[in-house]
Amino acid sequence: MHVRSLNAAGISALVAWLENPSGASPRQILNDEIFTEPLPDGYHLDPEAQFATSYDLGVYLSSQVFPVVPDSFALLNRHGMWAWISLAYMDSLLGKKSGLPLDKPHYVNTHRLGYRLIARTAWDLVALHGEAARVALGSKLSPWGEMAEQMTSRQQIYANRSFWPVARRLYSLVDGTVKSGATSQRDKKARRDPKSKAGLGGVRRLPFAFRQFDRTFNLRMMDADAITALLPAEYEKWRSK
Amino acid sequence: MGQVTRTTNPTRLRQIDRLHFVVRVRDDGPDGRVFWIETFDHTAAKLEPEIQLACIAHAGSTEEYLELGAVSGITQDRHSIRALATDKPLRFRFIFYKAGESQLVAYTDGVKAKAEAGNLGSSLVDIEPTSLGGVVWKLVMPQGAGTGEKPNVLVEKALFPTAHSAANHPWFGVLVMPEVMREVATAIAKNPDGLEDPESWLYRWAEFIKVLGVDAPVTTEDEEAAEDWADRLVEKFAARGTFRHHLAQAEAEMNGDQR
Repeated sequence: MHVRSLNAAGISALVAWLENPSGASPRQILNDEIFTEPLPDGYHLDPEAQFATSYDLGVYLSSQVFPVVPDSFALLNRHGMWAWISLAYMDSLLGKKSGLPLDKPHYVNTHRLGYRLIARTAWDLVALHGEAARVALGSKLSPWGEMAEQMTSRQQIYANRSFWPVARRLYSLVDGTVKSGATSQRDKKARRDPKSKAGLGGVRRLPFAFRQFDRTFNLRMMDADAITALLPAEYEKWRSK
Repeated sequence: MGQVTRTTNPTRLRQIDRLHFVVRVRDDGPDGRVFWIETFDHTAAKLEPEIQLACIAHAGSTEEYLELGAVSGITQDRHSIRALATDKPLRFRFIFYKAGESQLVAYTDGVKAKAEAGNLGSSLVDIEPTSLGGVVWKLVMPQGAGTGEKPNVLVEKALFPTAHSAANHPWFGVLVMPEVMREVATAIAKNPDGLEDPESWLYRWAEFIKVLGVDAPVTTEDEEAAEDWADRLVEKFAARGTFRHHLAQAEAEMNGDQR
């Protein structure tokens, strides 16, 4: 099927369903000229494809749908197209337990929350970081897990090509799932207790440690093992876990 | 007993003045934006000729990393930055290191391209022409707390090709700048301590507020009081000569007078 773009009426129809998701998603509008517009590039996708994880969706989009992109920034800004793709793959983008959609920003572009648009971010992260993107997008429990939120909401690390392999090295298990406790928060009580190890070395703290080393090292020319070896003792359990 | 402070610099990392760099950016149309280093004086920067230079060009959450070779052999080759966001401020971080070593010897942060920065480097607000895709202007407030950060007004380059063309335009002055002032005033009202913190971007605004004749706000959780303070600051700002000059120009233009 040709990739199309939802127009204002199409986005309204999608948003109306997201706000009141009774019944099936309005996939019948995908080819309806009242709700959609054609795109000039001739990109194609398989509307029947299913994806176990958002990482799988990102791999499919980057290798099969958009293998060559002359202007990736322009593609990122096609908000109607990404809403159309969200609708096309809605079955793979629903909450795994509830079978219901997540919050609206995960399917349509939303000011300041654009990184949460799953299909777009999955494509972008796989295009930027390849296999390393799996650490954020590989959850089989939710199309947008806490790891995805933590790793995409900070713009200093989103595109940093040396950060992602380090996060993968620390927090991924061999099967691609995330180690237990990787997203734990170090709460106020733990911060006041020097003996508490809660949240230490987790992904919420890694960007700050990374930023410190980024001041004094050219991390972009170092591999993940070399960077991981620099990290302080609180990351030891993640290095060896 | 000695105390480790943020000024001891145990890594001996040097900060190189950004004035040693002249960076240019050009929009090559369908090929996107490119940048090049027009000049970099490694002798003035007191760097050995064999020191290596790399660059991280960043805009919003997008970035490009390039290794540029020895500082003594910098060329004016064009480097593509087409994957960088055009609706976010474009900045360059330059890092210096010895060949084969990953530890840095020096860095320069926050370098702006000359063509985009115009001559407003000493102002409290940056104005940057860029492609905004139909939006005429957009204010980007500082993300961090560092003293080098400034509010950035991105303007559509089709209307304002240079920072000066926007800054000197009466409609820009009367419609955009008061709103910028209000956003800054609101940020100050939320964090008055920033005016006295040399490491906060608000610090540089303390003198400006004083010149306007407005007392610094007091810390309060009363949103109405904060809004009232911001209103007072904007009124004082709008009473300045430059603003009144722009307002007179705009009124004359509305009345059909030739500019």
